[in-house]
Amino acid sequence: MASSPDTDELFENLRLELRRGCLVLAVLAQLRTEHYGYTLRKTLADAGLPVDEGTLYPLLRRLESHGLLASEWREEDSRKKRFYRLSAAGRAVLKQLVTEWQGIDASLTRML
Amino acid sequence: MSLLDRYLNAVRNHLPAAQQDDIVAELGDDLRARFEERAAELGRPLTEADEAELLKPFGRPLLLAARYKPRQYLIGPNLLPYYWTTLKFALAIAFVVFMAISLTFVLAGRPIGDFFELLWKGTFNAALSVFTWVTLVFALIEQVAGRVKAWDHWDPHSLPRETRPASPASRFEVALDLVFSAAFVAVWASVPHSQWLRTLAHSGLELAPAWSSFYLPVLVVVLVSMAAKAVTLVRPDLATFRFVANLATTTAGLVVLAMLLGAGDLVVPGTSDPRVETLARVMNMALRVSFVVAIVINAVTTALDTQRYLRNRHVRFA
Repeated sequence: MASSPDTDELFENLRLELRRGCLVLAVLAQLRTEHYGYTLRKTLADAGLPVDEGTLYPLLRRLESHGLLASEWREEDSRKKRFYRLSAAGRAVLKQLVTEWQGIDASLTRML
Repeated sequence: MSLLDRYLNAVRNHLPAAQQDDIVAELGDDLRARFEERAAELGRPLTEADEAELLKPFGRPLLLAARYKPRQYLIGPNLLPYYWTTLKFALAIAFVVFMAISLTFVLAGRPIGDFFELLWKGTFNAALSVFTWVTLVFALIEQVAGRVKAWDHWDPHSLPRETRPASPASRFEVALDLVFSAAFVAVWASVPHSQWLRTLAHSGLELAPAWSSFYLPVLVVVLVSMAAKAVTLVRPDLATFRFVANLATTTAGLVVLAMLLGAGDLVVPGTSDPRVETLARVMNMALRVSFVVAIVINAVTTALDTQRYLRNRHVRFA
Protein backbone atom coordinates (compact mmCIF):
# COMPACT_ATOMS: atom_id res chain seq x y z
CA MET A 1 0.00 0.00 0.00
CA ALA A 2 1.38 3.42 -0.99
CA SER A 3 2.11 5.78 1.91
CA SER A 4 0.11 8.99 2.08
CA PRO A 5 1.55 12.40 3.03
CA ASP A 6 -0.10 11.95 6.43
CA THR A 7 1.61 8.64 7.13
CA ASP A 8 4.89 10.04 5.81
CA GLU A 9 4.61 12.91 8.27
CA LEU A 10 3.59 10.56 11.06
CA PHE A 11 6.56 8.32 10.31
CA GLU A 12 8.90 11.32 10.30
CA ASN A 13 7.59 12.47 13.70
CA LEU A 14 7.91 8.98 15.18
CA ARG A 15 11.38 8.59 13.70
CA LEU A 16 12.51 11.89 15.22
CA GLU A 17 11.00 10.92 18.57
CA LEU A 18 12.81 7.57 18.47
CA ARG A 19 16.13 9.21 17.58
CA ARG A 20 15.82 11.99 20.16
CA GLY A 21 16.34 9.67 23.14
CA CYS A 22 19.07 7.70 21.37
CA LEU A 23 20.92 10.90 20.50
CA VAL A 24 21.64 11.72 24.16
CA LEU A 25 23.17 8.29 24.61
CA ALA A 26 25.21 8.63 21.42
CA VAL A 27 26.52 12.08 22.37
CA LEU A 28 27.48 10.97 25.88
CA ALA A 29 29.20 7.88 24.47
CA GLN A 30 31.17 9.87 21.89
CA LEU A 31 32.26 12.38 24.51
CA ARG A 32 34.21 9.75 26.42
CA THR A 33 36.78 11.24 24.04
CA GLU A 34 37.06 15.03 23.95
CA HIS A 35 35.47 16.74 20.96
CA TYR A 36 34.41 20.18 19.87
CA GLY A 37 31.03 20.62 18.19
CA TYR A 38 32.10 20.28 14.60
CA THR A 39 34.17 17.11 15.04
CA LEU A 40 31.50 15.60 17.28
CA ARG A 41 28.88 16.17 14.59
CA LYS A 42 31.17 14.64 11.95
CA THR A 43 31.89 11.63 14.17
CA LEU A 44 28.20 11.07 14.79
CA ALA A 45 27.41 11.43 11.08
CA ASP A 46 30.21 9.02 10.12
CA ALA A 47 28.78 6.55 12.67
CA GLY A 48 25.37 6.79 10.96
CA LEU A 49 23.70 9.29 13.28
CA PRO A 50 23.64 12.63 11.43
CA VAL A 51 22.43 15.50 13.57
CA ASP A 52 22.01 19.15 12.71
CA GLU A 53 23.73 21.92 14.63
CA GLY A 54 20.43 23.38 15.76
CA THR A 55 19.83 20.20 17.72
CA LEU A 56 23.36 19.27 18.75
CA TYR A 57 24.58 22.51 20.32
CA PRO A 58 21.52 23.17 22.50
CA LEU A 59 21.72 19.50 23.59
CA LEU A 60 25.38 19.93 24.56
CA ARG A 61 24.46 23.02 26.60
CA ARG A 62 21.64 21.19 28.31
CA LEU A 63 23.81 18.20 29.20
CA GLU A 64 26.48 20.54 30.49
CA SER A 65 23.98 22.49 32.59
CA HIS A 66 22.95 19.15 34.17
CA GLY A 67 26.58 18.50 35.05
CA LEU A 68 27.01 15.56 32.67
CA LEU A 69 29.55 17.34 30.48
CA ALA A 70 32.46 19.67 31.12
CA SER A 71 33.70 22.15 28.56
CA GLU A 72 36.48 24.62 27.97
CA TRP A 73 37.47 27.09 25.27
CA ARG A 74 40.87 26.36 23.68
CA GLU A 75 42.64 27.49 20.57
CA GLU A 76 43.22 24.94 17.84
CA ASP A 77 44.33 25.63 14.27
CA SER A 78 44.44 29.34 15.20
CA ARG A 79 40.76 29.27 16.00
CA LYS A 80 39.06 29.25 19.41
CA LYS A 81 36.91 26.17 19.93
CA ARG A 82 34.82 24.87 22.76
CA PHE A 83 35.82 21.35 23.71
CA TYR A 84 33.42 19.02 25.51
CA ARG A 85 34.10 15.86 27.46
CA LEU A 86 32.19 13.61 29.80
CA SER A 87 32.26 14.64 33.48
CA ALA A 88 32.43 12.16 36.37
CA ALA A 89 28.65 12.46 36.79
CA GLY A 90 28.26 12.00 33.03
CA ARG A 91 30.27 8.78 33.13
CA ALA A 92 28.04 7.39 35.90
CA VAL A 93 24.86 8.34 34.05
CA LEU A 94 26.23 6.95 30.78
CA LYS A 95 26.92 3.62 32.49
CA GLN A 96 23.31 3.48 33.71
CA LEU A 97 21.96 4.50 30.33
CA VAL A 98 24.05 1.88 28.53
CA THR A 99 22.64 -0.83 30.83
CA GLU A 100 19.13 0.48 30.16
CA TRP A 101 19.78 0.60 26.42
CA GLN A 102 21.10 -2.96 26.38
CA GLY A 103 17.96 -4.10 28.19
CA ILE A 104 15.70 -2.31 25.69
CA ASP A 105 17.75 -3.57 22.77
CA ALA A 106 17.53 -7.18 23.99
CA SER A 107 13.78 -6.90 24.58
CA LEU A 108 13.10 -5.30 21.22
CA THR A 109 15.32 -7.79 19.40
CA ARG A 110 13.23 -10.60 20.89
CA MET A 111 9.99 -8.84 19.93
CA LEU A 112 10.94 -7.73 16.45
CA MET B 1 28.74 42.17 6.35
CA SER B 2 28.47 38.59 5.09
CA LEU B 3 25.27 36.59 5.19
CA LEU B 4 26.82 34.42 7.90
CA ASP B 5 27.51 37.43 10.12
CA ARG B 6 23.99 38.72 9.55
CA TYR B 7 22.60 35.32 10.52
CA LEU B 8 24.71 35.12 13.68
CA ASN B 9 23.70 38.67 14.64
CA ALA B 10 20.05 37.78 14.20
CA VAL B 11 20.48 34.66 16.39
CA ARG B 12 22.33 36.75 18.99
CA ASN B 13 19.37 39.14 19.29
CA HIS B 14 17.13 36.30 20.48
CA LEU B 15 19.56 34.79 23.00
CA PRO B 16 19.81 35.55 26.73
CA ALA B 17 22.40 38.34 27.19
CA ALA B 18 24.65 36.23 29.45
CA GLN B 19 25.06 33.50 26.83
CA GLN B 20 25.12 35.51 23.61
CA ASP B 21 28.91 35.67 23.08
CA ASP B 22 29.49 32.07 24.06
CA ILE B 23 26.79 30.56 21.87
CA VAL B 24 27.44 32.78 18.86
CA ALA B 25 31.20 32.07 19.02
CA GLU B 26 30.60 28.31 19.07
CA LEU B 27 27.92 28.37 16.39
CA GLY B 28 29.99 30.75 14.24
CA ASP B 29 33.01 28.46 14.47
CA ASP B 30 30.99 25.47 13.34
CA LEU B 31 29.35 27.37 10.49
CA ARG B 32 32.67 28.79 9.29
CA ALA B 33 34.17 25.29 9.30
CA ARG B 34 31.22 24.10 7.27
CA PHE B 35 31.55 27.01 4.84
CA GLU B 36 35.28 26.29 4.38
CA GLU B 37 34.53 22.63 3.77
CA ARG B 38 31.96 23.53 1.13
CA ALA B 39 34.30 26.05 -0.54
CA ALA B 40 36.97 23.34 -0.72
CA GLU B 41 34.47 20.97 -2.34
CA LEU B 42 33.50 23.58 -4.93
CA GLY B 43 37.10 24.74 -5.45
CA ARG B 44 36.11 28.44 -5.27
CA PRO B 45 34.99 31.02 -2.71
CA LEU B 46 31.34 30.75 -1.73
CA THR B 47 28.86 33.14 -3.29
CA GLU B 48 26.04 34.65 -1.26
CA ALA B 49 23.69 32.10 -2.85
CA ASP B 50 25.95 29.26 -1.63
CA GLU B 51 25.94 30.72 1.88
CA ALA B 52 22.16 31.07 1.81
CA GLU B 53 21.83 27.44 0.75
CA LEU B 54 24.02 26.33 3.66
CA LEU B 55 22.22 28.53 6.20
CA LYS B 56 18.66 27.66 5.20
CA PRO B 57 18.55 24.23 6.93
CA PHE B 58 19.46 25.92 10.24
CA GLY B 59 16.03 27.53 10.27
CA ARG B 60 14.93 30.98 11.31
CA PRO B 61 17.24 32.69 13.83
CA LEU B 62 14.33 32.99 16.29
CA LEU B 63 13.74 29.22 16.24
CA LEU B 64 17.40 28.32 16.47
CA ALA B 65 17.88 30.66 19.43
CA ALA B 66 14.76 29.25 21.12
CA ARG B 67 16.35 25.79 21.22
CA TYR B 68 18.98 27.13 23.59
CA LYS B 69 16.37 28.18 26.08
CA PRO B 70 15.69 25.77 28.94
CA ARG B 71 11.94 25.69 28.33
CA GLN B 72 10.18 25.42 24.98
CA TYR B 73 6.67 25.82 26.36
CA LEU B 74 4.58 28.06 28.57
CA ILE B 75 2.75 25.23 30.33
CA GLY B 76 4.34 21.79 30.18
CA PRO B 77 2.80 18.33 29.83
CA ASN B 78 2.74 17.75 33.62
CA LEU B 79 0.51 20.75 34.21
CA LEU B 80 -1.47 20.91 30.96
CA PRO B 81 -4.31 18.51 32.00
CA TYR B 82 -4.83 20.48 35.25
CA TYR B 83 -4.70 23.72 33.28
CA TRP B 84 -7.43 22.67 30.82
CA THR B 85 -9.68 21.32 33.58
CA THR B 86 -9.29 24.49 35.67
CA LEU B 87 -9.86 26.71 32.63
CA LYS B 88 -13.05 24.89 31.58
CA PHE B 89 -14.40 24.94 35.15
CA ALA B 90 -13.58 28.64 35.64
CA LEU B 91 -15.15 29.56 32.28
CA ALA B 92 -18.33 27.65 33.14
CA ILE B 93 -18.55 29.43 36.51
CA ALA B 94 -18.02 32.81 34.81
CA PHE B 95 -20.83 32.07 32.36
CA VAL B 96 -23.28 31.02 35.08
CA VAL B 97 -22.40 34.06 37.21
CA PHE B 98 -22.96 36.46 34.31
CA MET B 99 -26.16 34.69 33.33
CA ALA B 100 -27.43 35.22 36.91
CA ILE B 101 -26.27 38.86 36.99
CA SER B 102 -27.88 39.60 33.61
CA LEU B 103 -31.17 38.02 34.68
CA THR B 104 -31.12 39.98 37.92
CA PHE B 105 -30.76 43.21 35.95
CA VAL B 106 -33.75 42.28 33.80
CA LEU B 107 -35.73 41.42 36.93
CA ALA B 108 -34.87 44.85 38.23
CA GLY B 109 -36.65 46.32 35.22
CA ARG B 110 -33.86 46.79 32.66
CA PRO B 111 -34.92 46.18 29.02
CA ILE B 112 -34.40 42.73 27.48
CA GLY B 113 -31.82 44.15 25.04
CA ASP B 114 -29.63 44.90 28.06
CA PHE B 115 -29.87 41.24 29.08
CA PHE B 116 -28.25 39.98 25.87
CA GLU B 117 -25.73 42.83 25.77
CA LEU B 118 -24.73 42.30 29.38
CA LEU B 119 -24.59 38.53 28.97
CA TRP B 120 -22.48 38.72 25.80
CA LYS B 121 -20.12 41.51 26.88
CA GLY B 122 -19.89 40.37 30.50
CA THR B 123 -19.24 36.76 29.59
CA PHE B 124 -16.71 37.71 26.92
CA ASN B 125 -14.77 40.03 29.24
CA ALA B 126 -14.96 37.54 32.10
CA ALA B 127 -13.78 34.73 29.79
CA LEU B 128 -10.84 36.86 28.71
CA SER B 129 -9.91 37.65 32.32
CA VAL B 130 -10.35 34.02 33.39
CA PHE B 131 -8.20 32.82 30.50
CA THR B 132 -5.49 35.40 31.26
CA TRP B 133 -5.34 34.73 35.00
CA VAL B 134 -5.53 30.96 34.82
CA THR B 135 -2.83 30.92 32.12
CA LEU B 136 -0.63 33.31 34.10
CA VAL B 137 -0.93 31.29 37.31
CA PHE B 138 -0.14 28.01 35.55
CA ALA B 139 2.74 29.56 33.60
CA LEU B 140 4.12 30.81 36.92
CA ILE B 141 3.81 27.35 38.50
CA GLU B 142 5.55 25.91 35.43
CA GLN B 143 8.32 28.48 35.72
CA VAL B 144 8.87 27.96 39.44
CA ALA B 145 8.27 24.25 39.94
CA GLY B 146 7.35 22.51 36.67
CA ARG B 147 4.75 20.49 38.56
CA VAL B 148 2.77 20.45 41.81
CA LYS B 149 3.88 17.33 43.65
CA ALA B 150 0.77 17.33 45.86
CA TRP B 151 -1.36 16.84 42.73
CA ASP B 152 0.50 13.64 41.87
CA HIS B 153 -0.88 11.91 44.96
CA TRP B 154 -4.32 10.44 44.46
CA ASP B 155 -6.51 7.78 45.95
CA PRO B 156 -8.02 5.18 43.59
CA HIS B 157 -10.97 4.96 46.01
CA SER B 158 -11.95 8.47 44.93
CA LEU B 159 -12.78 7.22 41.42
CA PRO B 160 -16.46 7.52 40.41
CA ARG B 161 -18.35 4.33 41.20
CA GLU B 162 -19.81 4.00 37.71
CA THR B 163 -19.81 5.66 34.34
CA ARG B 164 -23.36 5.79 33.17
CA PRO B 165 -23.62 5.29 29.44
CA ALA B 166 -26.47 7.04 27.68
CA SER B 167 -29.34 4.62 28.13
CA PRO B 168 -32.22 4.26 25.69
CA ALA B 169 -35.13 6.57 26.47
CA SER B 170 -38.01 5.08 28.42
CA ARG B 171 -40.97 4.73 26.03
CA PHE B 172 -43.41 5.18 28.92
CA GLU B 173 -41.83 8.48 29.97
CA VAL B 174 -41.74 9.74 26.39
CA ALA B 175 -45.39 8.78 25.86
CA LEU B 176 -46.42 10.51 29.10
CA ASP B 177 -44.45 13.57 28.03
CA LEU B 178 -46.26 13.55 24.68
CA VAL B 179 -49.68 13.39 26.37
CA PHE B 180 -48.90 16.38 28.60
CA SER B 181 -47.42 18.31 25.67
CA ALA B 182 -50.54 17.60 23.59
CA ALA B 183 -52.76 18.82 26.43
CA PHE B 184 -50.66 21.98 26.71
CA VAL B 185 -50.91 22.59 22.95
CA ALA B 186 -54.69 22.17 23.10
CA VAL B 187 -54.99 24.77 25.87
CA TRP B 188 -52.40 27.09 24.34
CA ALA B 189 -53.95 27.03 20.88
CA SER B 190 -57.33 27.93 22.31
CA VAL B 191 -56.11 30.94 24.32
CA PRO B 192 -56.63 33.49 21.49
CA HIS B 193 -60.22 32.26 21.02
CA SER B 194 -61.22 31.72 24.63
CA GLN B 195 -62.44 34.65 26.69
CA TRP B 196 -62.42 32.39 29.75
CA LEU B 197 -58.72 31.62 29.37
CA ARG B 198 -57.74 35.19 28.50
CA THR B 199 -59.51 36.49 31.60
CA LEU B 200 -57.95 33.72 33.68
CA ALA B 201 -61.31 32.15 34.50
CA HIS B 202 -62.93 35.58 35.03
CA SER B 203 -60.63 36.22 37.98
CA GLY B 204 -60.51 39.95 37.35
CA LEU B 205 -57.08 39.54 35.80
CA GLU B 206 -56.37 39.40 32.09
CA LEU B 207 -53.50 38.24 29.94
CA ALA B 208 -51.58 41.30 28.73
CA PRO B 209 -51.52 42.10 24.98
CA ALA B 210 -47.76 41.24 25.08
CA TRP B 211 -48.75 37.56 25.03
CA SER B 212 -50.05 37.81 21.48
CA SER B 213 -46.52 37.85 20.03
CA PHE B 214 -45.63 34.67 21.94
CA TYR B 215 -48.50 32.39 20.90
CA LEU B 216 -46.85 31.24 17.69
CA PRO B 217 -43.19 30.88 18.90
CA VAL B 218 -44.26 28.84 21.93
CA LEU B 219 -46.55 26.69 19.78
CA VAL B 220 -43.76 26.02 17.26
CA VAL B 221 -41.22 25.11 19.95
CA VAL B 222 -43.63 22.70 21.65
CA LEU B 223 -44.75 21.13 18.34
CA VAL B 224 -41.13 20.61 17.21
CA SER B 225 -40.35 19.11 20.59
CA MET B 226 -43.39 16.79 20.23
CA ALA B 227 -42.24 15.70 16.78
CA ALA B 228 -38.81 14.82 18.21
CA LYS B 229 -40.47 12.89 21.04
CA ALA B 230 -42.59 11.00 18.53
CA VAL B 231 -39.41 9.91 16.74
CA THR B 232 -37.90 8.92 20.11
CA LEU B 233 -41.01 6.87 20.88
CA VAL B 234 -40.36 4.80 17.75
CA ARG B 235 -36.55 4.74 18.05
CA PRO B 236 -35.60 5.22 21.72
CA ASP B 237 -32.07 4.05 20.92
CA LEU B 238 -31.16 7.13 18.84
CA ALA B 239 -29.14 8.89 21.55
CA THR B 240 -27.54 11.44 19.23
CA PHE B 241 -30.85 12.42 17.66
CA ARG B 242 -32.40 12.71 21.12
CA PHE B 243 -29.51 14.87 22.32
CA VAL B 244 -29.50 17.20 19.29
CA ALA B 245 -33.31 17.57 19.25
CA ASN B 246 -33.36 18.25 22.98
CA LEU B 247 -30.53 20.78 22.68
CA ALA B 248 -32.28 22.60 19.82
CA THR B 249 -35.70 22.78 21.48
CA THR B 250 -34.29 23.69 24.89
CA THR B 251 -32.21 26.48 23.35
CA ALA B 252 -35.24 27.79 21.47
CA GLY B 253 -37.23 27.53 24.72
CA LEU B 254 -34.57 29.51 26.57
CA VAL B 255 -34.74 32.27 23.98
CA VAL B 256 -38.55 32.44 24.28
CA LEU B 257 -38.31 32.48 28.08
CA ALA B 258 -35.74 35.28 27.97
CA MET B 259 -38.00 37.28 25.65
CA LEU B 260 -40.98 36.69 27.94
CA LEU B 261 -38.86 37.94 30.81
CA GLY B 262 -38.24 41.18 28.97
CA ALA B 263 -41.81 41.61 27.74
CA GLY B 264 -42.95 43.62 30.74
CA ASP B 265 -46.19 42.85 32.57
CA LEU B 266 -47.83 39.69 31.31
CA VAL B 267 -50.93 39.95 33.50
CA VAL B 268 -52.98 43.11 33.79
CA PRO B 269 -55.92 43.95 36.04
CA GLY B 270 -59.31 43.78 34.31
CA THR B 271 -60.84 46.19 36.84
CA SER B 272 -59.69 49.21 38.82
CA ASP B 273 -60.10 47.30 42.07
CA PRO B 274 -56.90 47.96 44.15
CA ARG B 275 -56.91 44.34 45.35
CA VAL B 276 -56.87 43.09 41.76
CA GLU B 277 -54.08 45.54 40.92
CA THR B 278 -52.04 44.23 43.84
CA LEU B 279 -52.76 40.66 42.73
CA ALA B 280 -51.57 41.55 39.20
CA ARG B 281 -48.30 42.97 40.56
CA VAL B 282 -47.71 39.85 42.66
CA MET B 283 -48.54 37.60 39.69
CA ASN B 284 -46.14 39.47 37.41
CA MET B 285 -43.33 39.24 39.94
CA ALA B 286 -44.07 35.52 40.46
CA LEU B 287 -44.00 34.97 36.69
CA ARG B 288 -40.64 36.76 36.35
CA VAL B 289 -39.11 34.78 39.20
CA SER B 290 -40.42 31.52 37.74
CA PHE B 291 -39.00 32.43 34.31
CA VAL B 292 -35.59 33.14 35.86
CA VAL B 293 -35.66 29.84 37.76
CA ALA B 294 -36.72 28.00 34.60
CA ILE B 295 -33.94 29.64 32.56
CA VAL B 296 -31.25 28.83 35.12
CA ILE B 297 -32.42 25.22 35.61
CA ASN B 298 -32.74 24.62 31.86
CA ALA B 299 -29.35 26.20 31.10
CA VAL B 300 -27.56 24.18 33.79
CA THR B 301 -29.38 20.93 32.87
CA THR B 302 -28.58 21.42 29.19
CA ALA B 303 -24.92 22.14 29.97
CA LEU B 304 -24.70 18.99 32.13
CA ASP B 305 -26.51 16.90 29.48
CA THR B 306 -24.12 18.18 26.83
CA GLN B 307 -21.10 17.37 28.97
CA ARG B 308 -22.47 13.88 29.74
CA TYR B 309 -23.29 13.24 26.08
CA LEU B 310 -19.84 14.35 24.89
CA ARG B 311 -18.14 12.25 27.57
CA ASN B 312 -20.18 9.11 26.86
CA ARG B 313 -20.72 9.41 23.12
CA HIS B 314 -18.24 6.59 22.49
CA VAL B 315 -20.00 4.26 25.00
CA ARG B 316 -22.42 1.90 23.31
CA PHE B 317 -25.63 0.79 24.88
CA ALA B 318 -25.29 -2.14 27.21
